Amino acid sequence: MKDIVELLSTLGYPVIRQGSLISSDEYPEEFFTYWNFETPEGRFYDNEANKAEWGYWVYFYSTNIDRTYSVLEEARQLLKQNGFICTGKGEDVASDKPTHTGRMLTVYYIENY
Amino acid sequence: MAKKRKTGVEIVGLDELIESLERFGEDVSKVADKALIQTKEYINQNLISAMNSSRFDFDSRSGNTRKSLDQDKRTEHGDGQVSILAGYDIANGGIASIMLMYGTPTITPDRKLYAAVFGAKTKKEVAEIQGEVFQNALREVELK
Repeated sequence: MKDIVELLSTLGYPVIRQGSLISSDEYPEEFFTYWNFETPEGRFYDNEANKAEWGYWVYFYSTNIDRTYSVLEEARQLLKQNGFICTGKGEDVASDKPTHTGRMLTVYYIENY
Repeated sequence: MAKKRKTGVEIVGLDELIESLERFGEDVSKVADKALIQTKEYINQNLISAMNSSRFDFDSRSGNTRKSLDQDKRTEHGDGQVSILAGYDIANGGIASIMLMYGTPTITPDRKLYAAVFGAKTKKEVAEIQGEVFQNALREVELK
């Protein structure tokens, strides 16, 4: 089972859970956030599941709009190389600070057991 | 910024249902319209429930997000496909729904709001609703 936080950390930016900053906090200049939005089980046999599909949203925020595209693409390639399935090349998301823009990916990891 | 996300469902046996309806001379596009309108009503009800039980107060300030829930029942036909817009009208007060569904660095995503439209249970229910509309249409034709 690949740890998405460990993987994203190798890119050299802070990686924090979406929503864990306090509104009065200073944002880091550039950072990732993540959220595990679903993990349904499947491939049932004899009442036991044999796989789980981990669904994550991976977000990148930056003070430089170009880097929200380039660094998120780096993350997308890294995740793909490590077995994650990426649905698309990302989309814009809201940032609650006017200094930062953000983009996000939806990715899945299939865990077989 | 507008955000549209398409979602579809797989209905087992739908092709056969459509073929049967066409053999009876039925206007399948009207059946599809009915299926989509019922889908939209179901999703809107899901969103209302999600807003009512959310930790966010959708009625504070202007209440724009709640008011922006799209009620238009018009469907769009083209290229052999039928579609309907469901959810919030982003251009008219619904933009906060994106922040709440996907969160921000200081706001955790609202799981119920997301699941109301895109969740696995919602997709399953939508497939059942649409399948039932087509099956009922065929039953009505067969009884004529």
